[in-house]
Amino acid sequence: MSRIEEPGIDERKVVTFTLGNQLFGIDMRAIVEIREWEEPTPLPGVPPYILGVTNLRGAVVPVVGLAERLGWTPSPIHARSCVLVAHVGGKQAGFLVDELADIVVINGADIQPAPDTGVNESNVVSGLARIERRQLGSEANDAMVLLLDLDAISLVRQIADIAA
Amino acid sequence: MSAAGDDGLDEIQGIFFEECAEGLAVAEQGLSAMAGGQVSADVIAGVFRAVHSIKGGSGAFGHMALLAFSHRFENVLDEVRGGAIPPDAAVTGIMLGAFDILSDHVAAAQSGGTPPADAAMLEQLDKLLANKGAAAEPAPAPAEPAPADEFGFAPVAVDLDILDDPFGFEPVAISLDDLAGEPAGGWTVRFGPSRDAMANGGEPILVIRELERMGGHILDADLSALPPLRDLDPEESYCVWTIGLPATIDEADIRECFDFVAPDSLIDIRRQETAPVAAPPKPEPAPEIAPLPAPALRVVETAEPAPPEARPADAPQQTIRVDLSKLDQLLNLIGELVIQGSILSDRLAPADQERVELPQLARLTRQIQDNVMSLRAQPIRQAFSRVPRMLRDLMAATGKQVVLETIGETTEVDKGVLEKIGDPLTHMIRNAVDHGIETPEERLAAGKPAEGTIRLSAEQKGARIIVRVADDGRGIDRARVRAKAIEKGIVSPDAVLSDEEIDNLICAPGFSTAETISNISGRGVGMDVVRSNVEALGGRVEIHSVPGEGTSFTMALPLTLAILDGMIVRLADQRFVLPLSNVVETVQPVAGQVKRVSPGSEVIELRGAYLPMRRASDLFAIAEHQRRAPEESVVIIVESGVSGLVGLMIDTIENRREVVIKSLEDNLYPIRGLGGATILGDGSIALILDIDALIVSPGFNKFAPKGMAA
Amino acid sequence: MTKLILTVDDSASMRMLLKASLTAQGFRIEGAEDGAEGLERMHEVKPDLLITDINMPKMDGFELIEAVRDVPEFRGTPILVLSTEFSDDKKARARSAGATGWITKPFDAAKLGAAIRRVCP
Repeated sequence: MSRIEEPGIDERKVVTFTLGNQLFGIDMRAIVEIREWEEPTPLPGVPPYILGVTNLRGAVVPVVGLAERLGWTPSPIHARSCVLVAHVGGKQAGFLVDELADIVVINGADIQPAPDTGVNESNVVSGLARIERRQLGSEANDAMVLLLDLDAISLVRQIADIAA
Repeated sequence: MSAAGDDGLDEIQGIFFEECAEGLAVAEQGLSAMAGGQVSADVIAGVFRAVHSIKGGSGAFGHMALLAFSHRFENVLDEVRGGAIPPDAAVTGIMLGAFDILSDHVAAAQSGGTPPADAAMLEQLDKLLANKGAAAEPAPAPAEPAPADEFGFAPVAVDLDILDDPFGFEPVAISLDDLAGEPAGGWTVRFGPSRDAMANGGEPILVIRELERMGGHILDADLSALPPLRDLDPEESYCVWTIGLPATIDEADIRECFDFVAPDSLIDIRRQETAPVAAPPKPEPAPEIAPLPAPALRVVETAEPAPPEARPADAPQQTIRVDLSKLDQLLNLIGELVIQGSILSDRLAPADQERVELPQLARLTRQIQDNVMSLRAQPIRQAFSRVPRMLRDLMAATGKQVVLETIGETTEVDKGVLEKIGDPLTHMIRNAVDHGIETPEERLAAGKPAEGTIRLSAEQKGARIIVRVADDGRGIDRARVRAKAIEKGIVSPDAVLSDEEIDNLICAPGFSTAETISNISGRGVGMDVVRSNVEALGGRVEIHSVPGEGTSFTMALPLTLAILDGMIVRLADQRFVLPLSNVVETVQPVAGQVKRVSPGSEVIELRGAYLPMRRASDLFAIAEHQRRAPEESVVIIVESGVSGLVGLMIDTIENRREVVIKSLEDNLYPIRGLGGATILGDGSIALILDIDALIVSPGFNKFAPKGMAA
Repeated sequence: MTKLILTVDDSASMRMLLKASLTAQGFRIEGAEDGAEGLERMHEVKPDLLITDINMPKMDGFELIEAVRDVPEFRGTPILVLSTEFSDDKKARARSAGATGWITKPFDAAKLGAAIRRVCP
């Protein structure tokens, strides 16, 4: 029942990825799997950031353009594009990102409150953390990661979308 | 280990809450019957037993507020059962109120939330008990979870008749002087079981062993009363034992040992003030049962996982409890079986497809599927059961008087449907009370009875379950609805709308009638959510209203959810599924058969009649270069509930197949026009079309798809 | 040879609690959910001890005890009543029906064990 593997140490594994120029992270515990990009089946009558649905081991799961959802330029599709399948509020959804970066370990104590990041939704960014160079590729400098709270990214229809 | 024990206890407690739910349902039914005048002994006994059971288990699981309340409630019910409190209208009213509070207690116990405020109700219950006049006093509610004292049968010390003439058995008397060792102030217990003590399977010797286990010693066994063998009555007891016990033992514990001993036995317990009473032959240690952690019940080891109690299948009406998730798994597997059967069949040459084994396989699979589906079917009563309480609350909040009629409660519905139907039902009932039923004064002024009626009905019609909420209220105020819709921009001011179309505007997204009279209704999402929920299930909502006479909301729901007989069609590079139940025929249009009537409106000529036609490529915003002319397409004539026959033009028909419906709601939300999605044999996803919603809805023209990759 | 106890109670959760508690104390358990079934099971499994509730549909505890005592083979079988009630007249009624002893719910596992020891050799 306990979720903390090393008692007393508040460390979490975080999957990092880029959207635009910014590095983001999602707690690994929320991630179900990371998949290669595959063209999803489009859905009618949904906002543009819902790219469609895909078959995840027999379940019909929506694929969301995360950059688009947060109000930015849609992620380009390229050879290394991938989709992070995650638990969101009791459901599962796949999120398309620009580029997958590394899986890093972040200590809870090192997480600072998020600055105003221009993300058009409150509570989506749950914090800011610094990742040391040694966790990243050798050429990288220390980086700042914006941690995302997926549960705050609601997929429920916005009123604006309904009124046609 | 304790974790496993806790899980075991959780599981058992889960079953307890299920039983509470059943008990509450029985109690509510019984109380409603009583309110309606049926006060037979059976009905009352049923309510009593239900509350009694809830009380029984609540103590065992430590829900003290629930225990205390149910105990008091039970006391009142006991008096009603016994005739001391007559179940008149006032009393029944109070009991219904008590029932509501009991439900709240159960809910609080289950969720771990705060128990409801019940002081006022308890006062009312106490008043009932005080006024009844009969002898029984309300038994005191147990105040805390400590194990209740085991009162047993109160021992009454009575001297036995002592018979003469011992038959040569030397009384095994031990002189008190020989003994030493017990601390001063120990106990001396004289125990002479009566004849009765040996009846009913009683074994006095076990009591003595128990005393020994507590640290007692037999000091004396007085066999002076033992008769000669020929006179010996085997069912009589002739011995009197004297047993010494250390002072450290509680008197209550000693008395407890004699709990079950017949009242007419000799049981004399007294403190030994002076001489030590003690110790000699050390009694053989009785077989020890491992001491259990007291006092609360703890499952130290669950010998086996608590299984559903299966019973031998001989008697009629046997039931078995099954985990719903197991049924769902079974259903999924059967769905896969169905699909594999279809794929297999597709791979075979047409000649082979005719072979008897294939249809046989299909038939068997279908039978298994039907059987499993019927396992999931439950009477719709479960969904209806929440309505009476809701109605009571609404009546209290609005001051309106409503009588509820329920028809067809036993109609069986798939469990999945049952779960989803609750919210729509709630909304419709609220609507009926808030907007439909008038106040008593308004009704009387209109020549109606002061009490409004809501009829809740369910019946099976073919492959559908029809659930209807009908009221005899004022009907839909169409002028107001239309005005509101214009105000909200849902329709244009000069739109010409039929009565039915206006009625359906209530379900338009963003529409919500103002002035919610009760604060329970109208949170801004209302009938549009109802409609989309019902459509997500593959159902339909129809509204019918006559001004001044009433309104009815009808939900038509599919009988079974998971598997659909479908026609797979292709449009551009996507595949869709059309429910075969909607398909009437297919046509390959020749030149000129499809005619344009006005901009945006086409018809197809079929055997002299002109049927309206829509192009799927329009509905799904297919790119121009991927569209086909009618002569290269197929038109499927479909029948929709509201609009009759309509043509839908698609590219090609692939085949007919049974598909497993995956609800879009699992991970997304319902989408108007889609009845879900399915995964085809090759792993790709095909969207299932909801013909009625697609073709007929007023918002049809607004079905502007976004997010379609060009 | 482990003792076999037959528990009769219309509440499945109560039977499960009893079963868990008693199995932990080393007994084997069979169950029934009303008096009628209880009587059948008595014949089928011939337990060393019968523990029964009072308020049950079809055949209540008192009737069950009387019916069991009518069977010569079960005249000496210890019978314990396990019930939330504890009024003296109920207990007297149980006794005259033929019960050996009475335990009130909610029960304490240790006391239940002690009560069983007192009636079950």
